[in-house]
Amino acid sequence: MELEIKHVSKKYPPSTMAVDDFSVTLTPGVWGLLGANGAGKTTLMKMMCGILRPTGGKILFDGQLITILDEKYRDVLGYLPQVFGFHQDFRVYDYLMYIAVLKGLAESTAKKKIVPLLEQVSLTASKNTLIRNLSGGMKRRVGIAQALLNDPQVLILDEPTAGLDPTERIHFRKILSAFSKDRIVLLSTHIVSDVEHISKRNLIMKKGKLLVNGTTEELVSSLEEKVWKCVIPAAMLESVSKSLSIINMRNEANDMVSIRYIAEKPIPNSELQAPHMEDVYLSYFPRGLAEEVSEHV
Amino acid sequence: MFKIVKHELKRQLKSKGTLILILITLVLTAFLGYYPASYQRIDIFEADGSVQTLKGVQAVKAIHESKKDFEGEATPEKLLEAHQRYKEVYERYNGEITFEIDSKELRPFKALLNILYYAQPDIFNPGKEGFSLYELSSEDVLAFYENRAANQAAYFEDKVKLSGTALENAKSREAQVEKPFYYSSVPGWDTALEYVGMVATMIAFMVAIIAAQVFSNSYRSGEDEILRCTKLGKKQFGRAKVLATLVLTTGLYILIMALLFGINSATLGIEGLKTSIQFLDTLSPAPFTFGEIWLQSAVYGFIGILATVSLVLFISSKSKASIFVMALSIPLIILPLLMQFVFKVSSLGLTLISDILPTSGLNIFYSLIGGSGSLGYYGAVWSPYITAVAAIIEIGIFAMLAVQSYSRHQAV
Repeated sequence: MELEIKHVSKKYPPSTMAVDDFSVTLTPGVWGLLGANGAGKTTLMKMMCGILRPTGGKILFDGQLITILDEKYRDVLGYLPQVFGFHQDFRVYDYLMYIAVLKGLAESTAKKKIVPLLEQVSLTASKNTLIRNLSGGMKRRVGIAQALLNDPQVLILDEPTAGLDPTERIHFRKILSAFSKDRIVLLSTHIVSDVEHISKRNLIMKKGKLLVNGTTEELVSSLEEKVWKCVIPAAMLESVSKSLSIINMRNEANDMVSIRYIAEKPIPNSELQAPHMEDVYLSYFPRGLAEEVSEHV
Repeated sequence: MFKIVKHELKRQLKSKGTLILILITLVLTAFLGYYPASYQRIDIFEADGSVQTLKGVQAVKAIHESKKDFEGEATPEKLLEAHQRYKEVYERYNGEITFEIDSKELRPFKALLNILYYAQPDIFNPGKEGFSLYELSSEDVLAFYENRAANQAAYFEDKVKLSGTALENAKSREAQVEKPFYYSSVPGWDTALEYVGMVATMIAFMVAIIAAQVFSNSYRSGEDEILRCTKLGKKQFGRAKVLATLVLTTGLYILIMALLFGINSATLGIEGLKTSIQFLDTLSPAPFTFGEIWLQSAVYGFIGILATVSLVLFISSKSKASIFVMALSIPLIILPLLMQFVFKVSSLGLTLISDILPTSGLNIFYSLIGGSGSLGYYGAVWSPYITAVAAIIEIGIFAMLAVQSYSRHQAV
């Protein structure tokens, strides 16, 4: 089973390229899709779900165009959008029944599916609660439940952990890990730790283009002996930030600052650090931290 | 498919906004249903000179009771009896018929006297002197139906300027009018007939507000992105949404019209429903009774409402903003009324446009009677038929366009 994205582009008039000649072939397992806001992740995912037409390229599931497969493709698809709403007068259980009908599930099958799913996303106690009365995190869990309802072979999740507390995020990762066996799961996130340990491969997008495609180990190893930590006077931070790619910092006593940075050659008194996936991500999107540094100074 | 329709219907009915709208419409319908009876009044002049004024439903009952003797077929003999009794009263009071005399002596057969205007031959002749009911001859009264037919023919040709096939069709409709006319008193039913259109317009507003949200709200909330990714979430779901809205509209229409008819019947009585519509408009070639006109107004209104809903669904499938959809739909609903009563369009082209608008069937009452003013003929075709056929076509076209537009919608 594979989902092939071939030279897919999306151009908005007059000249904005939201996705630019993106190609990748997804196979079973969890795929992390990382990128800053506006990188084109959501646009790409919408095209993969068939709810937005590409202006170029094609998307194939097992060699067939998803537009031709149409209903058959949507039968194996589960999607959680980044921003989504519900009909506010639905109760959780009724909403899932409604979605189950649209997913073509028989009522008896739907009932059998919904009960354990509610259990999985810890919503059993809230099954008769009006969706409008749920917290943001609970609504997102309802969203996750609906995406899993048809036992999809292709699961596309756009920022699924936004609004979830740390415990819920860990729980969600476990669900996803277990679910991803023999299924294609594409997960976009800003939170690198969400994919770091469970993703088979990570895709990093920037300005609509695919910058990197690799396993966590491959990406992390690219920063081997390049991540350093050192403590410097706060007054030096601004000048240091111009020459180093600072990825993290923390205020210390006596007007000192501890910094974690990427560099081929370290500044004096630096300690070598083991690289993480977050370092990889930040190495591609350093601008935000540079701004933080100038704000800090 | 029907499972989706069922769930979509349930979803629409779960909306608080929808329930509030339905409740408001039911209350207003109850008010409009009762209103024709509420302003009925009758003065009963007692033997001791006192006057008792009855109002509302009591008045309706008293009016029916007072006219009971002349109920039934308005045969020439019965018309003559009414005319002779009128002449006796006229002579007894030397032509000075006060309100009290009118109420006491003429009320039972007043409706029969009213139609006798057309018993006078050649009434549309410009050289003819004014009409006097007292001077109307017994022969002319007995020849009421023949004289009315001659006057009607003159009216068709000289006043309405009907010719060719249109004239033939008007005559053939007239041939279907049952004669003698049937009479039973109809206090309030004339207003009630006009209110059918008013209630239909009110329902149109209600269902337009519901339909405006069907697609727009799910686009705006982002709910649509989830629904559209489900197996049946595109074309089938679009069809189900349209069908569910039409089913909901049908259910609500039947419920509200049943309520209106129930209140009308309970307060005005059902006797008047058998009365020939010619007691409202004597020259009308409409072969209907008051009851049939009520029913037809409701049926044309129903078709018009379905066409309106289909149009609103189509607009809704094109826009994320339900407020915009409503803002566009409401003028469309009242456009035929504006053209007909405010701008008083008279050119054939504009009248035709007005008649083929989806909402044109909502206020069809005057076209159905078609006695006063225009008879509503476009060549050989009678305007209510054009309205109905146009609305039926529009239901199909706009429903299809709505489904197609929803299926092609992109989640930008």
